[in-house]
Amino acid sequence: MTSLIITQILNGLTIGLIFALVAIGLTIVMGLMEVVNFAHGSFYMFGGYITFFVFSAVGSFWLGLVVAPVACAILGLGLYYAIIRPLRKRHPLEPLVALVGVAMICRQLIRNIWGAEPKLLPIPFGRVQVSLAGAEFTYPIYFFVVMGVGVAALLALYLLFRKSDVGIRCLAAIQDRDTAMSMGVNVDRIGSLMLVIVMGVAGLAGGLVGPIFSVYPTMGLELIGLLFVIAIVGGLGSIGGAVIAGVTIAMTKSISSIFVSGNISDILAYCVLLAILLIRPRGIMGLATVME
Amino acid sequence: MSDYLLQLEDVHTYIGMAHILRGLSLALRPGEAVALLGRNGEGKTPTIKTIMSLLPPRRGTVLFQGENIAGAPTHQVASKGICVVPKGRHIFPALTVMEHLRVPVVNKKYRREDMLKQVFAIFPELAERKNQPARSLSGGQQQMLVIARALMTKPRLLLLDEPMEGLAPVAVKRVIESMKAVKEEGITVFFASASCERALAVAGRVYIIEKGRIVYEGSSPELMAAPEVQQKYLGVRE
Repeated sequence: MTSLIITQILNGLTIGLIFALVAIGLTIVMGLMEVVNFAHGSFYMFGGYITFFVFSAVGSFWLGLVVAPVACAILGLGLYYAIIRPLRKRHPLEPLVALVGVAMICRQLIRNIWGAEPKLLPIPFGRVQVSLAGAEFTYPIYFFVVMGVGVAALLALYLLFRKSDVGIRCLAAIQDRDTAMSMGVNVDRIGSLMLVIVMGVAGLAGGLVGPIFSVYPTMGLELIGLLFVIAIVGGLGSIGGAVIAGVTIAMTKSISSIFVSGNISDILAYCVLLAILLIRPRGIMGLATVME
Repeated sequence: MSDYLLQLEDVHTYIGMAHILRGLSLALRPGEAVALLGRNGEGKTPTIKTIMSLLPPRRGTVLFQGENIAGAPTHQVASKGICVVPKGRHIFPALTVMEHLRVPVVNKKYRREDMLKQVFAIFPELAERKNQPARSLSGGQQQMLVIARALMTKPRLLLLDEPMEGLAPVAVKRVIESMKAVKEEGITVFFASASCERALAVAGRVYIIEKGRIVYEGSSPELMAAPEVQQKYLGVRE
């Protein structure tokens, strides 16, 4: 039993870090552009499929993990100039509807090329013997790799937003767009850069989960509701909040799934997040405490 | 090229359907400190926002150093040498003092280190609090911070919207001192205020705005000697 619980905690941590990585992108785009990017999950899906495509074409999963974020970053720039920038200042429903359309097109496009059935990427590396808290069990090395990559990516985002001029200006624009512009900050240009970065990160996350969940056309749409919850519960523009919310939801799901069925554990996870939102209406980290 | 640094001519600005500035004209000479006086709701903030291009005018010209900047993107207006201290301060609550000073885009001709040195010389209280979150500062310190933030762009023209509003008397004194220091640096100062007495402590010249138009223009001593004008445009309405 102990080994099962520890395994589920490790699973929750791995998946939670992935959720957090994708959700941070969503919260940055929402905060900076005031656009609800319904197509965010599509880039996560693209990342998964591009990794799968490279793997099936040249046989290297790792090359796929490099190509996927680069390709998604370029697609993100396209999304910014084609949809987000032209529609940003209109009524908020217009960009939302357009981005829902983009998400539908992406799903259908992928389904037409690769079909509806999931494609499982082989899991790299084998399993390692773990002895922890008196329990002995084997655990896939790849999950530790995902945790490592996830933590490294989160750290890179943290440094970007806390130590670089462009990151600090981005945070300033999220908090007060007009004032940031009045200080000479070209918020449009920062927006395009942020789309490149967060879509690259979403693509990386999609590639990373390929060997864990497999890739399938609705993987982005399935995730988007969860991402919104994580982004809002975590607090807009907050890396720390997204990590706490992402890990909390994934951990609740994985641990409760020991005792109840998967559907019930989903319900439990959402209940936990709703409870947090009721106690802290501005998110775990309200805007005033972004990234502390 | 005219003698004026900034010249607004027959400016009409709307907020949605509402016609706010109705043919406003004013002009600032380089190096002077000028106050825009008026009761609340007469159009002081829209004037500042129009100059900053946050509320682009529908008609009229905004000439800065002879160039029409009406409708230019706000960040370009800033890069031409105009910066603003907005009404209500508008700090970035999650950023520290030092991070605030990294937000403004510094003109390539200057080094940020030099600008920081200059700014900390005017506001030593900020140098002591570099790593403190801005929201933990007092109101007066926050006002110092947003003036310092604006100065980081090395503007030729500094706009301040009600810089003394809502501050304790000791902080008001400090704001007045710092505005004088800014003027000493050769920066043109244009500020909105509802309080005649405080404005005259800094400004050499004043405009009075009513219903989106300039209704009075004169030097500070002239206005001081004209209590009937003060009563008519700035006093409590009967």
